[in-house]
Amino acid sequence: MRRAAVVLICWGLWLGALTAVQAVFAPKLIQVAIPAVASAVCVLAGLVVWALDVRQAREERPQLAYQAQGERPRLITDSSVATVTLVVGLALALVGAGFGLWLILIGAGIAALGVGGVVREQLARSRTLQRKGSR
Amino acid sequence: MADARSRPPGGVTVNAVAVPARVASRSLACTDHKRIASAACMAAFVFFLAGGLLALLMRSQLAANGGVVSQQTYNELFTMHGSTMVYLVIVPVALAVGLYLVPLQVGAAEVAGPRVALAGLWMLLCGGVCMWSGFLTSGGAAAASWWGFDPLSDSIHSPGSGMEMWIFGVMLATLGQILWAGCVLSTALRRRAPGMTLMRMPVFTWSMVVTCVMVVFGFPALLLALGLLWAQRHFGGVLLGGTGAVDYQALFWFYGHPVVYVMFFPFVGMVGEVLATFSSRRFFGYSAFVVALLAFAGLSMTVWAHHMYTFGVLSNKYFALTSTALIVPAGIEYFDFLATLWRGSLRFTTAFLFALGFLVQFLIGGLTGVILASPPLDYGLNMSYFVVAHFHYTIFAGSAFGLFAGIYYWFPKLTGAMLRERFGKLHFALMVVGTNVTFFPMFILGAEGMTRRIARYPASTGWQGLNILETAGSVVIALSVLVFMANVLLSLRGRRGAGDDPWGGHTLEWATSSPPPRHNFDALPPIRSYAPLLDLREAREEVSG
Amino acid sequence: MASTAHAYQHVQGIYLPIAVGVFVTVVITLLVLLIRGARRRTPGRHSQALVLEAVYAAALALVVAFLLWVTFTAETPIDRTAARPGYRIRVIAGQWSWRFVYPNGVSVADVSTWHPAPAYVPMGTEVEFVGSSEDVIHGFWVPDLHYQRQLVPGYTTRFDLFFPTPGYYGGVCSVLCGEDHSEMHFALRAVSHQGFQEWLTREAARQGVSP
Repeated sequence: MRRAAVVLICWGLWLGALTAVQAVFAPKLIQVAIPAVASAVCVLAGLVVWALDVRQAREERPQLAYQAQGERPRLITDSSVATVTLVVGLALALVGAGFGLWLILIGAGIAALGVGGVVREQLARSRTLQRKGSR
Repeated sequence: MADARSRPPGGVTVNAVAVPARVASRSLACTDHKRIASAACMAAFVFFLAGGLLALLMRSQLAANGGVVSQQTYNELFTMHGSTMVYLVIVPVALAVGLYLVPLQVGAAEVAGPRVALAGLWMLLCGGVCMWSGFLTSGGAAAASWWGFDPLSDSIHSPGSGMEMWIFGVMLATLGQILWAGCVLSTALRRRAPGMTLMRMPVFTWSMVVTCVMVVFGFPALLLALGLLWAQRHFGGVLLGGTGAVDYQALFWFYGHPVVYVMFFPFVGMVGEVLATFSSRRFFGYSAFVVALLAFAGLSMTVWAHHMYTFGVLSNKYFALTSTALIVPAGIEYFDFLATLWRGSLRFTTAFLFALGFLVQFLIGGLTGVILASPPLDYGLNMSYFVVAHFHYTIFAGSAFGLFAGIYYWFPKLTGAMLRERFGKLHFALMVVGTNVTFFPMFILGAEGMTRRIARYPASTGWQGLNILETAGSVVIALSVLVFMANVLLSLRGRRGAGDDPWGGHTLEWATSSPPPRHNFDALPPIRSYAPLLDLREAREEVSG
Repeated sequence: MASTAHAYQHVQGIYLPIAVGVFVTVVITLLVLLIRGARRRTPGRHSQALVLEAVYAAALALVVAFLLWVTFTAETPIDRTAARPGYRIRVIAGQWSWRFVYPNGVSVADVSTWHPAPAYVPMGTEVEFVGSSEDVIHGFWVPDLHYQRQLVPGYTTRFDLFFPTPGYYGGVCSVLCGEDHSEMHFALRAVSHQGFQEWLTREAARQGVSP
């Protein structure tokens, strides 16, 4: 699984190498800066994925046998009204940037409701997981 | 929804428990990647029809050479046509098909970050509504082209809230696309079933991986550009005179060229799957194809300033180098496509025909792209109808054909019903005729000096004949879309059952029911190559033969 | 002499036949494969040819190198502005007009028209244009010379044009610039050096500027 990070790291380096070729062509700063930032962020993201995979592998090794017995259920989120509320709130707030503070405030309020809902859903999820896992 | 725990011999068990949900919330707020993707495809189709209507209006205007709409309205039409097709139709559809299929193709029970994927859908919807509501404002919709380039888009030259709504709409839609790409990418990289190594991922999944990498690391440039544009409109002094116009376009095209490949790679992947399945043989040159895709995606992030050759500000030769170098990975892809047909046992289904249409017509778009990549030629053709013809050959004659190949191929998987082949072939024939009659004459008009984005042209140019021909072609395209819609409706009403695997597919999505269950798989076959189902079939043949 | 029209014709003369050749080759190959594949019952299983693909990729790289050589050798002279141009003309674009200003003060303006008054230029020598824009980005495009440059506000854009033959060269704004974009035409008339000087003197007298 850890090899997945290699895709991002190698690809980021490839983009970096292509960007470096610009040195031959007397480039303007902006044409180097944009792809350089993108390639750096890509390599960083690759390192993050690497770290996540290493951690996951360490945590899951003891559980793999457990999983093979078909005991550890995987929870699938079925729906999330809170997420929709959050997005609609954010969209209204964004549009408010063109139409005035009142709309920003309404949007922010709806978005806050959405955030609360998402937190509630997450709590419910971890409760369910505990219950199923301990069964 | 119950636990699913059947276990095949040598296979892998998938466990899934779904949290029960109320019916009302399930349709609007369902976090099933398949439902999100289907909803996105339907929304995108509505936007496609709307954008298509704008195109028909534009074509009427050009056939009549004026008189249908005013120049200002015409500017709104092509701005919204381009914006709709790019931001709300092709990119969302490309990502939505990935959102549907990638978890299935890698054997995952669900997408990584289902809530994030749901958020992406709603951002797309909000973005689309926001962008189109510009037509309701007193000043009309945005009219500064789908690039929205500064200074034409600033508060002096584009006052009014239509432009403002466009900025917010594009931002929302783009943000949603970045979220989707993140979900699909991490599903492919971190949620693969045991046995599904990187080099066993199907061709389509690989095409989505490179697509999503470009979205995640390229698209934020557009958000930045639009943020700067918005700040410029409200506070001024952000995009400073001179460098500001160049900086905006540099940021925009750093999004704007990768996006061209975001509208290409997924369809390359679809065509690859369709060709392999209907040649009844393994996709040829898999590993070379994967490497070519990755190299292609890297190059396509460094070609963007070929849109700015005629500025004469950035290093044209560097971008000519990278743009022309695209020949190498593109050539490998075409080689693999043709080699897949080599020694194949071909079945000429509608999906296969659309894939062939993609191969031939995209080639015209690709080869004219090589021509435009050469600055001395671009100086003579940039901003002309030659460019319009070129990118419609890539996006419509290419990608849209690839998309329809994918639709005819996967529709049974999505719905459990087969699309009708006869209607499909009529749809294909009309679309080939319509597409080429509409877009090929544009090459000629462009080379003769017809500028894009003009609402009228002097009669002395003699361009009206070809323009009338193009408009006739666009009517044929509209007819073909009607045939397609009739096909979908008829096929859904009088269902012809598809079964799990109507085509003899190679990849994991054909190993589950049609449509797949909420948790995607009750059981997975063993995965020993990038075509696990073909492996099983070949093993069976060896035993029996 | 860096003639943009000549550079375009030269590069096109190499690129276009190659493009047509590639298209025809692919389509014929495809047809052969389709005809043979339609009859075959048992598909082949050979699915890898790494060496062949590597050789093929190397061949493609050679094609790229050749195309770039053609492009770069044609581009270099037309990107360069001559150190001593035969003549220098300022061109100012605005919504929605073109203004050509000559060193002696003579100017020609075309405002939102399909029937522009031609600005005269000398043929057979390099004419340097010093372009600028007053508001948004405009595109200075002369289709018959196969050449255009974008005039970006805040930038001074210099480029040389070479008019090989006498006559009328129509021009348009190629970059969307707002409401009257379709009407933003201009025209250049290339005449002999002597004819150009005569026109300049005549115009100077007519416009009341000191020659």
